[in-house]
Amino acid sequence: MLQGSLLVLPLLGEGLRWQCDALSLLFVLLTLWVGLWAVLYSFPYLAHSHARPRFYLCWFLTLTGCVGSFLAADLFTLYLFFELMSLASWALVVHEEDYPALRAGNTYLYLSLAGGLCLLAAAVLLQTATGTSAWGRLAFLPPPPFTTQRLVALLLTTGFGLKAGLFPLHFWLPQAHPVAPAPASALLSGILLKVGAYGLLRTMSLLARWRFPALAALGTLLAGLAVLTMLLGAHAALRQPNVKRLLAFSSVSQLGYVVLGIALAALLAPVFPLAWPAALYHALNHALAKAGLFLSAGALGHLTGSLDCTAASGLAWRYRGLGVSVTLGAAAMTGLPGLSGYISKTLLHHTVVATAGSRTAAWRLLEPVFLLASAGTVAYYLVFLLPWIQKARSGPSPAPQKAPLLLWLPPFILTLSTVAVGLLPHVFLVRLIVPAAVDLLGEEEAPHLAAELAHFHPWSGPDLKGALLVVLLGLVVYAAYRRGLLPSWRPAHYYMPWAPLARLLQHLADSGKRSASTLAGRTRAALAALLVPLLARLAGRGGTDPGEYKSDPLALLLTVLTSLGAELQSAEEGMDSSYTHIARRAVQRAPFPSADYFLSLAEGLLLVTCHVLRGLDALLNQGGAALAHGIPHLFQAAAHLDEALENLSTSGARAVHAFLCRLGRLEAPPRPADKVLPPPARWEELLHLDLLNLDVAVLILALLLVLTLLYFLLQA
Amino acid sequence: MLPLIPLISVAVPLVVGVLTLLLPWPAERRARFSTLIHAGLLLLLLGLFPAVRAGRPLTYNVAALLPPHGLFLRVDTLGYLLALVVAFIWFLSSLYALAYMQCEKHIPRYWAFSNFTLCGCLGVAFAGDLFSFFIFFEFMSLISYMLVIHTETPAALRAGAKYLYLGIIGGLFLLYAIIATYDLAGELSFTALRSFRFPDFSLYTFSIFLSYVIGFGIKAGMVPLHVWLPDAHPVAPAPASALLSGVLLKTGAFGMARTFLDVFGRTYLEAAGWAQIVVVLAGISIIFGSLVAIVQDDLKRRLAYSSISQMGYILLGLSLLTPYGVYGAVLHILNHALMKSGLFLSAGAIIYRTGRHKVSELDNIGRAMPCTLSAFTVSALAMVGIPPLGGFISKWYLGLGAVSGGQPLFLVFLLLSSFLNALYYLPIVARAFFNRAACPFAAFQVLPPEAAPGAEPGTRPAAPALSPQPLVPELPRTMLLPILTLAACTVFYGLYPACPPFSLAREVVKTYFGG
Repeated sequence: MLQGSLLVLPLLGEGLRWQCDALSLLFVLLTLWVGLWAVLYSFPYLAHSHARPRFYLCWFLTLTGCVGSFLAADLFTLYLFFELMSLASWALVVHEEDYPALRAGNTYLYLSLAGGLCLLAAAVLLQTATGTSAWGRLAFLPPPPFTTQRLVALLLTTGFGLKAGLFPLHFWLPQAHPVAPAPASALLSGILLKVGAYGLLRTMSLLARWRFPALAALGTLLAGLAVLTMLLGAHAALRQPNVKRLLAFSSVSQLGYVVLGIALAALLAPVFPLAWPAALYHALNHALAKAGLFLSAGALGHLTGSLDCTAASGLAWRYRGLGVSVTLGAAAMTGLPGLSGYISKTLLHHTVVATAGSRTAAWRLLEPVFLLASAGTVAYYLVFLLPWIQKARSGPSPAPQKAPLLLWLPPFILTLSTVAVGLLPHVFLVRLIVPAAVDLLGEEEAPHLAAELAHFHPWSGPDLKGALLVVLLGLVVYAAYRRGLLPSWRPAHYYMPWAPLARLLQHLADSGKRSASTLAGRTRAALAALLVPLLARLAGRGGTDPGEYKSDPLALLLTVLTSLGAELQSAEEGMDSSYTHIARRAVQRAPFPSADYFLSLAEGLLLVTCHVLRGLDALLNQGGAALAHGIPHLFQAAAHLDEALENLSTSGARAVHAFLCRLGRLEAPPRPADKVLPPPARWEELLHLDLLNLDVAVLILALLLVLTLLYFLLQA
Repeated sequence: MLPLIPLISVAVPLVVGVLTLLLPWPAERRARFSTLIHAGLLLLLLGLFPAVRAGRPLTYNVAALLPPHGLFLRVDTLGYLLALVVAFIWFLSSLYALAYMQCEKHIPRYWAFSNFTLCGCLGVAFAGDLFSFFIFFEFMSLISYMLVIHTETPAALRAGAKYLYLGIIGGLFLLYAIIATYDLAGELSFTALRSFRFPDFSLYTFSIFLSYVIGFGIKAGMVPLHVWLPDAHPVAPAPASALLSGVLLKTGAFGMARTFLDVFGRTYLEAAGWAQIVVVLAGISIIFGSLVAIVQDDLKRRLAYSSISQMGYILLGLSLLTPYGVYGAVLHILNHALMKSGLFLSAGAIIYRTGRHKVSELDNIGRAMPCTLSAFTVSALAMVGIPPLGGFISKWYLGLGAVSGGQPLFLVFLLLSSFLNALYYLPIVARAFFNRAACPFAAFQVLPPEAAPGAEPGTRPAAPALSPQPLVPELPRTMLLPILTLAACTVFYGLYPACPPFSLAREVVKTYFGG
């Protein structure tokens, strides 16, 4: 039944509620637009794939999950669709069913489920404390007690932050996105990450309206994490040879921008409401451009059989449509004027400047860091883009294979839409973004927003100069990278004779590592001395090597859980033998209870205690080992940074010069052999479409799109 | 007529069981006869629904039996719900057993003792006083031993012995508790005990409470007393496993509910604070069962440990003594019966077709038996608590109960256990459906002769995507139907948890908490 604009279905006891406000509408339109073009793209892309029915089923379930999450009026409904989205998109990630896909899928699935459980916990807490978990009603009810607020804030931030790939929880993203088929990657990166961003927007807006006492601390924390995410993503993206991994790290970095916008918006709550549109605009920009880029990367793989960055050499000249789309997409992500990225980054830059002005001095650092991350973006998109536009190597090249229409049109359209969003900022701002932002504002902010908006001119001189500066900085970073001046990821191979600070840090790290390992060893020895006599009677159980899992926190957790389970089981078997003893005594009519019985019962209890202690000991040891390995890495990272700064300061000019020289004589690597595709059927030749999929997929999507547009027009 | 229905539904299985043993029929016909009777019982019990919903008390006292007290049968909402789920699962399991048991020995014995156990279970559900309750409870405990040891392998006999001894010990504790209750209250019927309030919080009363908890805790598989469960459930034949795990465990939880809500009463226990013992033990069960299940490679054993964890949910909800908690617990009794029976029946189907018990051998099984494994997936997702499936609903109310009872720590336990459930259920699903690369056709090779027609020994079968017929055929219809029905019920009662007969769960809460 319809209650106002609230749709309530009496399902699941509590009832499912949907509500479409401008914020939901923005994201739903985005989802449908990206989903439509990605599904069209998937017809030629997956034409010879296995398990296509499963792929399309899970595809639509994922879209349902996304749209449902955006339209959900309360956290309960959102949780339902969030889980649906996680599970269905997991099936998309593991579509290839090979080892890397299954491994990445595992990480993705369990982390997503854990994130979902955080949301569920928050929903339960809110339901108990206030009687509802609806976004719209929570904002106007009296806020729950502070402890509940704090827990809810923490849980929601964790759950949505995980989905958005925020720094300490980002590691699933570069694993999961590249292994999926390209249309699925586009959906994952373009839309699914936005569910996390959307949730964070709602959460922070809710907390701001509650006047959550710890909002400043939470906002600062989020902003710090977002900055780390931006830098880390950019740095990692710069050295990925695989195109899709590069794009995935770029997604990490760009979501950092969005989260930074959200965090600053919450921090500046009443005074600078333009931060909300900034975050929204960047989300819009990223969704369109990144989906287009992932589709182009998929086309690269489809046409050349390789996902290496260098495999694209000269491809832009052979396939003009793809060339235009990668160029536009990369330009939009870097924020060149005229494209959507420029508007969103300008808005974010204004926000950063406003924060620096209204807060303590430490916040002044934010602007240079922001510029550095943007320069990094320019640099890694140069790495991505340059092979495409180089001249192909001369010599006998294989006859160019014709790209099907649907392989280049969808990325072309998607990146073209970034041009539209970039050239008509006032249309999109006024019609889509600002109404969405108004849903997030408190009532005293709305007049501020109108005033700010009147003063905002996207193509003012300082902003254009800023964009130019970022591009120049980006060229410098790219040059430094090309000359191998940026720190590398491999910590084993670096040697710094000329960096005293780094040497000092390394000494510190080494000693710290040594002392930590000694400490861990001591603890282990002491506990073992206590436990060994008791454990001697047990059959030796193979322990797991903690070092094996230190790179993957989730795997470490799983190992710990598994070993805990095994410990408990064997302890239980120990207990069990005493039960059997009782039974045996009873059958044999022995005097009962005998001393034997008590002894064996005591033994059982002792065994349980020992096992629990041993489990704890193993846990502590593994934790200690992880810590001991982690601290040096931290120090090493600091050393890298130091090294990079030194290198940049001493050889900046030389690097720019060398870079300019280099640009001229970059060589294209040999192009891999073309993938031989079976001849298409007649009707496929005609349209490159699979009719069976076509009528279901396109009709539904187009219908949804039309309906939503209609609704939007009626509302406007 | 209506008050006779409980008596009929208890007596009929007993008579049919004896007939099944004695009639000179072929095994096939005995099986079909029993199944038909189980279907009839289900319909008979459904006929009681209007009267129960209207809240009319239906009592029947067989004074002639067991003289001083007589056998006192009474139908209330809680008991009716249990009886209904017992009859439903029993019917589906019998339908499934028609085909499954054909390859087992001693078929008539299975059917006879299945009928006797059914009599015990329905008796527990309909018992109107503690005395009749005890009679039926002991009868059920002892008789179901025969279901556990049905295969007569050494492992089954060992597990059966453990089951039997622990059952007897639990029975002795219950006997002590019931005698002591009679000593204090002078009454044994549940209605009388509800209005009776124990005089004090003495050690004597505490020992009564503890004896009840131990007696029912053994049956329900509460953690320090669960040792029989992971051995007994996997060794039984699959339909019996489904009954043991899906239904018989619930009688323990049902007894606990009777203890907390009828015998002692909510206000008394709240004042005494003794229920906290069960809360803590249930919390330990939840985490313990899930953790140990992760390392099990035997599929049915993994399911059995999962049962320990899920029974922990039910006991937690009951012992929280909040309306939401009790509602969640009652819903979880129903949902867990549906989910776990579905899982055990699916596991049995896999064993029936491929002879494989281990999770690590189930590569690509989903491509061979898509319907079975889809149903398994639905039940497994429900266990994890994915909405909109049944398990989620009960978990949601249990969570609300934990928080509103002022114990948010147990919300953490519930969610952590959800995560652990995902860790041990979803790999099975991934292995069954998404494992093209690793060991591609392992599931198709070692098969009964009918399965791989014309295949040379040692040659690789063709890729499953290309072969028109999968090499492992799907199940016979009578086995597939119960599995699919259970999965469909899980989905339906997840979407509409207030549909009859689940709507009665609300009535239960109203009975004990008012409003």
